[in-house]
Order: sequence, then C-alpha cells, then structure tokens
Amino acid sequence: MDRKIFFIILIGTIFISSLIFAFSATSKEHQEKGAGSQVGNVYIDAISQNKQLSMPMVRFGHDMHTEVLEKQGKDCQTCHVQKEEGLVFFYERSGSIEDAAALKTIYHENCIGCHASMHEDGEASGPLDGECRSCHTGVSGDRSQPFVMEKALHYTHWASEDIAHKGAEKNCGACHHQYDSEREVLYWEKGSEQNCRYCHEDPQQDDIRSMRGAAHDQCVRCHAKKRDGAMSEAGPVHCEGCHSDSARQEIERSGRKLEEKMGEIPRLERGQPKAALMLPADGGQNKEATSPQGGVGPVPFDHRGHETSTDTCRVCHHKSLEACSECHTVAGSEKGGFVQLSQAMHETQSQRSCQGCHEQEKKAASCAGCHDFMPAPDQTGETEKCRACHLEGDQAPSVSEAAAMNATNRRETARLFIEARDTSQELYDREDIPQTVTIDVLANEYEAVEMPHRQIIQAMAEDIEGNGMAGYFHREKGTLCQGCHHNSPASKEPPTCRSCHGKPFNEKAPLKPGLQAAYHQQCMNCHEAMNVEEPANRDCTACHEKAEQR
Amino acid sequence: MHRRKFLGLMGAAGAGSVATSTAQAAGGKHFEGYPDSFAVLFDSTECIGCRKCEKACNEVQNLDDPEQPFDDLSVLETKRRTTSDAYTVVNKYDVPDQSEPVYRKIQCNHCMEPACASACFVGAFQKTELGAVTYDPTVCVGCRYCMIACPFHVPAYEYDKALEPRIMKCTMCYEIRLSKGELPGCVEACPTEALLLGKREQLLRVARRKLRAYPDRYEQHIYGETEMGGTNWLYISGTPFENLDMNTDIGDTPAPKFTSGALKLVPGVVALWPLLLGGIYAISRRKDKIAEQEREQSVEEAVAETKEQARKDLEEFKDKAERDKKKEIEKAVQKAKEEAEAERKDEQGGSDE
Repeated sequence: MDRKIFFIILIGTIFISSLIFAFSATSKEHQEKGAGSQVGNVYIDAISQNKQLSMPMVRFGHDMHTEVLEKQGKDCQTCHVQKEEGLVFFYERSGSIEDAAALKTIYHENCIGCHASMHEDGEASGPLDGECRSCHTGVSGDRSQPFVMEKALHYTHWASEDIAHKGAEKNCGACHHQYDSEREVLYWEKGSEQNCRYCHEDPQQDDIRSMRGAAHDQCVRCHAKKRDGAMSEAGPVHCEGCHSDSARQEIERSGRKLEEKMGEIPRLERGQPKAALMLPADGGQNKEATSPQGGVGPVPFDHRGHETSTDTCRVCHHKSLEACSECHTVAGSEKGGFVQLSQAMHETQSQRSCQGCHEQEKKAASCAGCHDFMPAPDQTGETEKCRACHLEGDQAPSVSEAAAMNATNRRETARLFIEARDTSQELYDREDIPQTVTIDVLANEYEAVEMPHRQIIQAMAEDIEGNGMAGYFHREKGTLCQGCHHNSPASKEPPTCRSCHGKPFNEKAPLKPGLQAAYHQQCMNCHEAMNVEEPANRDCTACHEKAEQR
Repeated sequence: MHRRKFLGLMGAAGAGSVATSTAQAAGGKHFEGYPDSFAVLFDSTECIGCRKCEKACNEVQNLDDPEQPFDDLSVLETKRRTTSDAYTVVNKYDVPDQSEPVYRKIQCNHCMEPACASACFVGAFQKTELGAVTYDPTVCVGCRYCMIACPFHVPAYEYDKALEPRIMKCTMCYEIRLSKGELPGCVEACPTEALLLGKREQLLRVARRKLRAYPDRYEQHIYGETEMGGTNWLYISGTPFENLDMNTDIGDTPAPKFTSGALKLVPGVVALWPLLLGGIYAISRRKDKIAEQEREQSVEEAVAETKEQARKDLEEFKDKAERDKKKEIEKAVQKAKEEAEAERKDEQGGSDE
C-alpha cells in the first residue's frame, strides 16, 4: 500500500478511537453522578394520569435531596406545602393537579430553578436546563422493597403509649378509620378495623386514595410529627427507613427479639374466633348455617394458630374480614366471583385457599426435600387425606348437627377438637432406625455406598422441629420415613428401595426408574431441594469410592 | 414459428402445470410417524451434567477420544455443538430464577420427517421404521446440503479427512444396538434415567403424566411433540426451552413440507415438459411442413401454368406455322395450278394451227 495513505488511515483511526474513549469516559462519569441510590427514589410520572409521557419518568432521589437540604439547614417545607393537618406529600402544591402543562411547569421551574440558584452560588447542583435525560431516566435497577406491616411492628404501633388514641385501650383508631361520606370526614369505629388495602388499592380506584398515597401520608406525617415532638424512637421519615433491604432485616430482627421477650406477640383482636368449625354449608360463622351438605364432615379450623404464622389477615381474607362462606357459597355466587366454597378451600393453584397455601408452604427448603418429590395432590378419592382436616367418626358432629349449633357451641366444639390434636413429631425409637444402610447391590464401577441413614433422618427431623403444620400433618411415627420410602404404608420396617426398583429402563414401567436411577434421583433431588451442598451431584466418589480396575 | 405464438403456448402450458400442483398438494398427507417407532425422552430436571452419555456414545460408536477426558466437567463451561467426533454433547445453562444450572443433551433429534433426508438428492438419509434417521456413506457425494437443511444444526462433516469424508451424526445406535433390541449407548449409561427409551406414543404419555403430576416442576410443554412436524427425541424441562438455547420458533411444519410443493412439480416437469416441448416442436414442425408444401405446390402450379402457356404458345405458333405453311403451299399450289393452267392454255393454241 501507498505509505502516505497508510499513515492517513492510521492517524484517522487513532483520532476517532480517542474521541470515542473521551466520550465514553464523560458519559460514564455522568451516569455515576446521576444514578443516585437504588433505594430511596421517587418516580415522578404525575403527568401520566391524563397525558402520555413523551419522556421517561423522572427518577428523583428523595433521600439524597432530604440529606442535602438537612445539611443546608432547610426542612421539608422547602419542597412541600404545610397544611393544618401536616405536610402535603405532593411537590410544591397543596393538592392533586391534573393539568399536564401546569404540572410540567411546577416541576421544571422549581427543580431547575433551585438547581440553577445553587449553581450560581458556586455549589454543586443537580441537572440544569437542557440536561433532560439526567432526570428523565426511567426506572432501572431499583431495589426498593415493598413494605409489610409485620405482626410485631403492628403490635408496637397499637400498644405504644406514644400514639395512644383518645384514651382508648388500644391505638387502633390512630390509623384505622372509616369514611363518612355525608360529613366528608374520617372517623374511627371500634371493632370495624380492616386491612388498609380493602379500601385503598394500588393503583387508585374511584375516589379513594391509593395505598401508596394514603400510607405515606399517614405514616410519614405521624413519624415526622413525633420526631418534631422530640420522641426518641420516632419511626422513619426517609425512604430507606422502610424500603431498604437493611431496614426490612432490621424490622424482622427486632420483631424476633420482641417475640422472644414476650413469648408470643399478642394477637390482633377484631372479634375473630380462636377456633372455628367450618362447615361445607352456606352462611357465615356467626349465622345459622343454611343448606348443609352431607357427605363430608366439618373442619375444626385453628384460627389462632394460623394467625401466628401470618403477618396480615389479608393472606386468607383477601377482600374483607367476613367469613369465607359469606362470599364463597357452596354453589358459588356472584359476590364470590363464582368461586365455590370447596374451591376456595382446596384450589391448589391459589395461594389463598387452605390447600394452595399449604402447597406453597411445602416449598420451603426444610419441606421440599420430600414434598417436591410427591406428585401434585389428586383431590379425587383420597378419603384418607380428607380426614386430615374433615372430622369423621362417632364422636364428631355431622354437618347438620354442627349447623344446628349456635355460634358459641360451634366454636367450643372446634376448640375441643383442636386441643385434642396431636402435633408432636415423634419418630421411631433411635435404635429402631438403622444407623447406616449399605447399598452394595449395584457395586460395579463404583464401590458400595455407606449411607448415614439415621443421621439423615435426624437432620430432617431437626429441620422441621416446631413446625406446627408438619407436626399436625405428619401423623405417624413413620410419616417422615415415607419421604423416601414412598408409595408404601408407614411402618417401622418399610420396604427397601430394591423391593420395587429393579431393572433399569424397564419399558413396562417407564415411570418407575431402575434401582440406580431411583437412588440417584431421590438423593440428588432431595439434596438440591434442601440446599444440601455436599456431596455435589457429580462428585461420584463423595458417596462411593471408585472401584479398582479389575 | 412466431415469438408471440410461442409465448401463448407457454402460457397455456404454465396454467396446466399450476392446476396439477394444487391438485397434488390437496392430496398431500401429513406423515404421522411410524406407529411403533422408538423415541427417547430427555428430562432436563433429572440431568446432572455428568457426561456419561457422551462417554458411552464415543465408546459404542468407536469415535475418537476428545482432547479433554469425559470426566473433566470444566468442558461444560463452554457451549458446544455436535462434531464429527461427538455425536452428542451436554451443555450447561444458567437460567433465571434457579440457583442450580440446567443441562441439556444435544444430538440428532431424529425428526419424523427429516429435513436432512429431504435435502439429500442421493437419498443417503433414511427414516427407519424404528424411528432412527440413518445415513449411508456409500452414496453420499459430500454436498453437505443436509447440514444446511437441519433445523437443529446437528450433522457434522469430517473436514479433516482427505479421502471419503462422511457426514457424522447420532444414529440412535440403529445398526449397532437398536435393531438388536438394545438400548442406545447414551440411554444405557445415564445414571439418573434422565434419558428414557420407549415407543414414541408411550413416551408422550409418560411425559404428559410427569407434567401433570408435577405442574410446578415442569414447563407444560413437550419439546419435539410437534416441533418440525414432531421428532423422535422428546424433551421436558423445568425452565422455558428458550433458556436452554432450544429453537422454539421453528414451527410445527415438517421441513420437507416447505419444499414438497416445489419438489412435487419435479416429476410433473420431467414427465410433462418433454411432452409439452415435443408437442410445441411438433406443432411448429407441422406448420413448417405445411407451409413448405404450400410453397412447393404453388411453385408447381406456377411451373405448370408456365409450361401450359408455353405449350399453348408453341401450339399456336405451330398452328400458325402450319397454317402459314398451308397457305404457302396453297399459294404455291395455286400458283403452280395457275402456271399449269397457263401452260396448258399455251399448248392448246399451238396445236390447233
């Protein structure tokens, strides 16, 4: 090639690549500045209510701004309007505005105005006029956690003396309210408290404020007031205080601490029964049951027990605090979305139904080792499984008998049956459980396996110690054994694996693996489900030594 | 012949051939697979990525050992594809929402209607009744159309062989094992029975039962049931098949169907075109012949006419000449007569004296 042309190209390449490098460097620097934290952001899309956004929504570092303003000795009123009832959590306005142009003006003039004046004073400032994309970044990599009012945290609120409500015994009225549409005021009616989300939905429905808006108004306003009132342990007013990973962990930790201290977190009292006798019949718990259905017995439901394992009533009572059968009638009704009572109780794909929730619970690592291996429940013809919940027998009341009882008697009956339940997790005697099992029938390429049989069972039992659900449903001493010794009745000497599993790839029983695969599938899938890292799946010699070459 | 006439004839022929092709397509039947063909069901939730299947494959197929031994699992860190020395490979996939990696075994899927076989113009590939797609190197010409045709990128070529390189791919151990009633090498070696051999229909039932029994464990789809018209290697998985680099937008149409429309015309072309072109040729030949005949005829006529004219002229001339001659003769005779008369008269006068 001509040397001149070569040099021109070379110089051109160097020039262009240096330009690219310079640009990428500046843009990177820019990104880091603008990115802000992954928690503590407010995404501003106020205009999107009635106008399609022409730019991505603004990612506003709320915590970052409060921090800076605090340093400058400024308070919330720098951005928020103070009204009689407290701060208004809209930006620079005292109420909701729908006019897109007006909203745009409010944000652009005030945000950029403040940045510009800081810039003039020679201080580091946020993006200025024309740097559109520095604010309009859209959502990316946000790690905010949704806030859950945990039981312990709920307790500290309703029992705290700092937020005592007009001399009432509990502080329920400090937050819970009803709305009087005639007088247009909020009021508290004792015993009518519900989950906030029954009325306040996200996104906002009708005229009722969204959960997001209502919760921030209520919680943050109160926290700010308490803080200003020099309360030592006022709740958080910054985003991170509720929505960061660390805050969530801290809330859990203090909850556990409180539980240890008190033994048990006091239950929320809203007139709910401790025990309920659920009937396959229409009519609520407190009413006369109508049209009782024969066939399947009533279910004594441990309401109190279930309260301890959930944080909010909404886990089951998803729309209101009424009894299930109020909406879900035996035949299904419009009010209950035509979900029948039996479906509401047994639908395995729903997380609100009894059986659906139990299925979900069984996915926990301590349960999944055995339960992952079990086929999805077949709800036909498994009478034995029905009896796990449904009463049957001479001592148990029939549905019509139960329906004839009054509410108190029904609850009392349920209580008695629940108290009589055996939730102990007994195993066979230690010496009855073989300590090791030697698997040598397949020894060939590899030597025999010495399986620490008893150790495995003990580890499994330890894992589910104190688990009430396991305690109740693992009814026999041999139930735990059935995790591996499946498809056979629980007994002290269950059949060995090779009683059923034999020839590999048996075309006559394609769903029954051969002995080798049965061992491998069972052991490996269980280890994976229970997060047992060793021995690893492909570390063959961790279980069996490689045989010497013969 | 005139150009326009020719095009007109061609148009007519074209219309005719279109009509035949639609008639054939309507009668085209989807091949449901051999009723008792075998298949293999691969369950990715049971596969642990041990590479025992790869090892067994190379052993039973007498393939060269790879550079890294089969118990070296670091090989799984790179995504591999089948080669002429590896009829099957296992790849590892990190999938979202799952802490453990997922493994997938790759080999020939033994399509019910194989694209390779339809692309092969010497018929080196055969879909056997047992389900395996086999390859006959003795007829192969090395065009590698099969490699391009395969929707799963499976056939490999012995590029390193100077003499008689072959296409190499999984045979489902057809000749060496399957036809003798033995399990394919990979299946037999699988320590977790993640691979199952059985009749295709039966395996579909097995797979469906698994999907129903463990709805949360499996994606509710059997890959290979309908893909590319169905394959004799079936897959079930706990993660969407796209996460395992499996092509999910190849559709349900068997590969040969894409070309069958055009290829069905070939016999027609072979049979009809000689007839058609011959016909066109014959017609044009006939026309030429007729024209030639006409021309000849007119020439003949002209010649005859001319001849006739000439004859007439000649005859006229002859007539005239004769008449002239006669006249002349008559004249001469007349003259002679007159002369004789005169002489006779002269003689009579003299003697009278």
